[in-house]
Amino acid sequence: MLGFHAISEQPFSTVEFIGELIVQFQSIIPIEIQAQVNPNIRTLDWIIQLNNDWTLANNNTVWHIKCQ
Amino acid sequence: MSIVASDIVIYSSQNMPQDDLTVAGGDINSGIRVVFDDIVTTGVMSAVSSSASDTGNLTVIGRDNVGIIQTDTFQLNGTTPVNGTQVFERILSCSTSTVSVGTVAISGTALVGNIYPTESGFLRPFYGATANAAGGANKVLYEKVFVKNNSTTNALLNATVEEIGSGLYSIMQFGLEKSQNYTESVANRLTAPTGVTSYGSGVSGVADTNIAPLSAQGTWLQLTLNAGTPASNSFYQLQIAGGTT
Repeated sequence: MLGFHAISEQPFSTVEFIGELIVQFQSIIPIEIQAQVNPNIRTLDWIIQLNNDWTLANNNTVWHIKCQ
Repeated sequence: MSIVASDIVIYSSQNMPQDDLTVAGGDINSGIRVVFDDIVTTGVMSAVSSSASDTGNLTVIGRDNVGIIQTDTFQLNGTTPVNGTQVFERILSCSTSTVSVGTVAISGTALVGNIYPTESGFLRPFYGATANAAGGANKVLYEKVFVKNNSTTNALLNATVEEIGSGLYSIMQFGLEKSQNYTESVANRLTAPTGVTSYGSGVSGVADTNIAPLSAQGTWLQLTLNAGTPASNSFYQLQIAGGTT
């Protein structure tokens, strides 16, 4: 018979092997960061100090105000 | 059938706090993923399902173009696309009012993420995480996610987790819980969990060697926010690897 033809009616024997495929998957997890701009607002301790020359009759009282 | 990319999913834990005061971690939440692609162009969101049965509400939370957190809730209409009305600059979370029947695709100018059947959304870890200004206190935050193998037939063999050196890699690390399906929670995200022995960025084998079908490896993400850390809209990237037959 002309041309190729099967050499056997039976299929070729298969060779068993243990195939283990190495796989890698990458995942992107979105994350945002906020930045605190001015968290260090401190309360100020104000001291109101009456000047030594303060008198009840004196309308020219001088107030010294300072913070510490 | 071999493990494929869609089998390995990173889910949130039950407690993903929005501040530094409330509980973090716990068991896996297999309805909420932490992986999606943020929008690249400011605009409104649209959603469409592969199932006509998805007609519940979709809630999108994100920041507008001046940084204010906005919420847009609109009703799904099955396989007919619907548009929201709020313009977003970035997305923080998307969730459906009921678990999805089909796959709900949520898009801006490109696909942002899918909500898969029996699931209900996706979110960004470390919601509202804020670094103190220079001179303030440094912070270390912990939030927990799970690497789950959704294959029902194949294990991921000799599975490993590894950080990819991009995004926030320089201020983040991960730590694997001492056993799979572990449910530790912490009082708040400033509290370090005890079920993790170390944090790092290199290749780390999972507990119990393999990730069996439907099993999950709890993974704590550690975010170090030194005072003065600038604001950023970024990401953390993990690589999961292993063998499959």
